[in-house]
Amino acid sequence: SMGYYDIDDILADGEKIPCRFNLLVPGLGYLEGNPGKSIDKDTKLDLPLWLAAVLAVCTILDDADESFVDLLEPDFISPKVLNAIKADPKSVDLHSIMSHFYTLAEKWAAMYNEALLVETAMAMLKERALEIDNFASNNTKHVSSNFLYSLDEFEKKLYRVTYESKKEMRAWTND
Amino acid sequence: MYGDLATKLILEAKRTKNLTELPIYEHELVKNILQETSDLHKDVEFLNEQQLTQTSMENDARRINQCQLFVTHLCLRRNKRCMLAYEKLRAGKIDEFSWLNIDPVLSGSKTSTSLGNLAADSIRSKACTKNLAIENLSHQEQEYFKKYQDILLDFKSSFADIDLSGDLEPPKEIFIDVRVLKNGGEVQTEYGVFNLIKDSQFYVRKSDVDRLIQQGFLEEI
Repeated sequence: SMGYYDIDDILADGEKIPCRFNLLVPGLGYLEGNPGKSIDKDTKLDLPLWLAAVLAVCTILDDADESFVDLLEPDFISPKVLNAIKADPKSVDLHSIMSHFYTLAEKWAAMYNEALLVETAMAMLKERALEIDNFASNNTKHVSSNFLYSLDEFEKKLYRVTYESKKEMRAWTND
Repeated sequence: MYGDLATKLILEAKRTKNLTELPIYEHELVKNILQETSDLHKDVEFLNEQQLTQTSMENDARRINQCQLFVTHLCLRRNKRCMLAYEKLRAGKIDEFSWLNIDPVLSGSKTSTSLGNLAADSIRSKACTKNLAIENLSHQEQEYFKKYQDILLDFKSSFADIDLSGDLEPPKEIFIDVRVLKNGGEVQTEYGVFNLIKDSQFYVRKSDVDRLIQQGFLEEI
């Protein structure tokens, strides 16, 4: 998974993360929609992860402590969201919080060694996976349920393969 | 900002992923991304030159140069990744189709399209590319398709006893009933000749008619 050519991974890398610039850079104004202008030190703006992650990790020349940008805590892992997830994983609308939640959480946890985030995401996945299996097995349940609309892209894939394999199994046993 | 066009291309790729046919190549979008990429490349060259000529650059100026260079490089890399992923997805679909051993649609004519659809229905697996319109491919892709078919033919000819592009469903019965879906004239098989007249039925050896089922002339009943 997460290959160079993986379309979903590319889309996940395109999700925006709030950042703060640690130095004034002329000519980079296009990042915040002002081409030709400069970006001031301490400017806060949303950057796609493919840009933000590298700028946050690379240290500035001759200055090992400071990186070009600092990543600020994104909404999808704010305490508010994590508390909602812990309270009731099945009723969280993951899709509207972050449509690539698991991929992003994985990337974020890898960058910042966030064991707690991993734990929360794993616990949520376990509970939601049971519900996904329920929906995929039982074709009398309505397809247009709120739960199915709340799945993130990874969970949608999980739902689809589960549903397909159960359907094929039924067709084969009935043959 | 830079990379937005490439994201558009990737969204198109995402949509294509689940289709059973290959939509038209995004010539315009690809052209614009290439334009953006060569602009970025010029920026990189300028920044590199600036770095080299100004050896006595102030610390601040060097930091700024380094940051501009990083951002420009990352934009280039992002465009490259998106373009390659788009092309690779399409190449994969062309490969899939080549293995099916049915003819691509040539000019969007109704009859050939419906043949494609018939063949598609007879193929069980749902995720693969069952329909390919030649005019949806870029010139390079058409060339690639031809060459891939050549390689495939070459490969298959080294296994004379097995039809590698045959049905992947394990055979359950040796003989099957088939119904003719459209007129096809006389067809010679190992077992004998049959005359394909629409709506007639035959009891035949499955391995004799696999190809005709793939091509959409026959339907298993």
